[in-house]
Amino acid sequence: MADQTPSNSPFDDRLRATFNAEHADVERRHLAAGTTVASTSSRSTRMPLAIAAALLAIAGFAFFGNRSSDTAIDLGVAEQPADSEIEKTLDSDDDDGGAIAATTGEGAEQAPEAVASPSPTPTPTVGPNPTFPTATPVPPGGTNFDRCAGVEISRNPAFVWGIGLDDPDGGLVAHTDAAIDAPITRILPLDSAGVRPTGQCRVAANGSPWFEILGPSGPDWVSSNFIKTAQSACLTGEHYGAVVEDGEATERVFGPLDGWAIMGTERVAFAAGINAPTTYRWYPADAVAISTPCFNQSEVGEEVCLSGQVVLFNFTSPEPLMSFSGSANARTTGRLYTPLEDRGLRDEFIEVAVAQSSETTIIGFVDPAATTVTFGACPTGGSDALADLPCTAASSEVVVGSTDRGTTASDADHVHNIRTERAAGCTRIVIDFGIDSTTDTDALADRLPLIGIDKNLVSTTITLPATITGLAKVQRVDFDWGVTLYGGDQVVTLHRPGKINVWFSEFPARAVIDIEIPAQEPRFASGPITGRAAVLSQHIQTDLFGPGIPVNTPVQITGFARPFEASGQWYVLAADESGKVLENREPVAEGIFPTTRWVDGWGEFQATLPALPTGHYVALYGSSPPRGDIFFAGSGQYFRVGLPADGTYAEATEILHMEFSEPFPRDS
Amino acid sequence: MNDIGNNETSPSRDHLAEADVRPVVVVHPVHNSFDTFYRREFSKLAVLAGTVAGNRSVGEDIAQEALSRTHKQWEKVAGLDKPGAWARRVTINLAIGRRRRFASEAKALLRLGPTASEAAETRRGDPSVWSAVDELPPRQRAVIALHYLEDRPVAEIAEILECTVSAATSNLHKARTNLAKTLGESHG
Repeated sequence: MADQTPSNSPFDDRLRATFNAEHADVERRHLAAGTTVASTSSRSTRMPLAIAAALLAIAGFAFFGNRSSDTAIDLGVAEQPADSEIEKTLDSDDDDGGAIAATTGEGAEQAPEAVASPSPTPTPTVGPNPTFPTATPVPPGGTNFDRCAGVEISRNPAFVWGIGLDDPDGGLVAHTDAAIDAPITRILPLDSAGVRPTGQCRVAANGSPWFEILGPSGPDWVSSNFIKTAQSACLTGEHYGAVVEDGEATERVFGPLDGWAIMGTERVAFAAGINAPTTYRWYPADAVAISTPCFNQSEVGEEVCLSGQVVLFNFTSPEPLMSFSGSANARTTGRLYTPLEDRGLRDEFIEVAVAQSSETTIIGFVDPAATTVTFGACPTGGSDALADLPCTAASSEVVVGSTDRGTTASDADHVHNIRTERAAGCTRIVIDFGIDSTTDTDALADRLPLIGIDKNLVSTTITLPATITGLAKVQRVDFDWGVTLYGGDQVVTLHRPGKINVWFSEFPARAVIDIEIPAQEPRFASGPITGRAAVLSQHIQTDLFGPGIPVNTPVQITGFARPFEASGQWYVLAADESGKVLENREPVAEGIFPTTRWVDGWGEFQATLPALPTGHYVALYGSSPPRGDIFFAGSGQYFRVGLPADGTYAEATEILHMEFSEPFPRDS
Repeated sequence: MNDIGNNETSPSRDHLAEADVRPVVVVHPVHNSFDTFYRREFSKLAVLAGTVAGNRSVGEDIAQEALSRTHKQWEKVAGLDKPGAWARRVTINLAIGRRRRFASEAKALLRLGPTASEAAETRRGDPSVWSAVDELPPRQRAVIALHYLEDRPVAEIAEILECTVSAATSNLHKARTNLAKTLGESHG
């Protein structure tokens, strides 16, 4: 098949060339930056990449952003215009917190007031031979708004403001101190949002106020003339943003988004959630409601049950994130939302998190007008319409032996979910099939895919078509009466003998295995034996023909195991009549068995016990590392060789969840 | 089931985290130091993650996280035949997980933050290719990156993605078809 190996068509060459170019560039910067290894010795001195990534967004840090240089900080970058030149580039809007008023003359008038206060800011020490004009510190007050040389200082997030696209520096130059000839620390792009003043202010030698702001490597200083305080705001709907106010709006965004905004002349500058550095864009004025949060807050992590027609969605996509009929447990994220125009007219949308598996959680909104939301977990004994069907219900779909179901016309492409439900006297395993596994909006399938079913006394195996891809990661579900292993192309339910029904439904497509649990558990196992690392599907007793018949060795054992690196260990230890391992803990026989799946997969295995003399034994199967800190975890079984049964048909007993160190304890 | 027990593959994070594998199992001598591994793999993992996540800087962040996890498990991972496959699996899982976890906000934030045009600008190569790749589902992005960035055969891709060869083949085929359609080319 052409796709199996890299080809050399022009199309492939084009793709390969692009990836190679990208890799070469990342590699070049990686090497140029002298990126250190995240080892124990160097971790403390290396800037976390998360911070570096954040720098990308906030500052176009020369390390990343200046494509002409690979140095981390380009000290040779062009300077911001001197303060005396500032006025020619200032925004003339008078609603800027007084930034424009910071002319040289006014600043000079404010300076004497500040001279009497001690400097709260350490003297800058970065840079060669620093010689700074004297900067006069002005202590900040305790409120959010103070004044410094006539300019308000806010600790709210601010935007870089009033710098044109043609600016020679490409943004706002930050320094180690409040002076244009102090060493440069970084350049904030002209559309930076999330600038955080610390509240410290200094008046430059020319009388212009400078603010200290939080930087990735510590505080640094910028001229107050080029930052402007933002207000909390909410953007709703679908809009297009522009980099500059009079620029072409090309970048699409979907609300609702909480963020910060500043009103411009005709448009509004908005940045979403700028707790982390980001950039702002210009949107139509009616797209953003200033001083109005999008979301209300509610309890976080509260358990709720969604039932009825459950639809999870976000506001960025016309397609639901999840849609099914039934019920599901969820937890609230703490956010509630109603479109601004509908507030007070309808119930709020509730954002919830629904766990699809141990690794996947879908977060979306539900509309309480369409989906029933009740506090607390969904009732046990069935989490959807299946609850109305009694376990082991008589059905024309009940499977016996080997057969198949479904159709090749089904668009199911993965196992959407496997879960167990427990009702009185019954365990139910439900396998839901889904569609669109490769998207973020996968959903339940309607039609059952063509599957094979093989049911016997102690196991049910469902073999899936090659088009089903959702079982790549092997998983295990434990339930009261057995265990379900799924991975590759199979779902295998190992269960103890009993009344077992397997049946199927469509709309949605699912397979159901009902296992009726007897009122009283038998003392000795006659079904699968499960442990932490091994499940015996064919244990010792299954080689017997009936009660009282001794085990004939050698005995072959089959099952599923998850030993490290697909190599498990078995031991046979001498035991007494009650199944306890004898004082002599040395195994009378031992060996290894390979499994057909690697490490985290539950792979099939087969082990053959050697011929053993008459006696009582315990056989153990599991994961035991070859050396080092010996630690065994697996399953076990007590059995007898060459001895008559005691009349209770007690040839085998299970040893659950074994986990102990060698040498083995007596009471295994 | 596929018999891959003797092939290059990797231990799962879940498995390694479990108490029942506390013993350190060194199957092969540790030939390469983590430093060497890090320097060799970082950039490829960053491009791989950036491709899946649709964002270069996020990709570098994820690569760093994946290598940090690799470092924590280094004594075990180094004993594998191909520890790079393990790191790639972690990287892809992190990248896909991050996309899904923040699905609702991330799309908008990514558009608002490093915008599509900026992302294309910061990436090298053909911008239209990147735009087309960004339109693919995450798993197809991973397959494409493994195939074209590293020239990995489908069998290796399947092992890294923990899926069947047929599933990997299917994903690669779909991805190439989608890319060809978007780019107006024939993929043959």
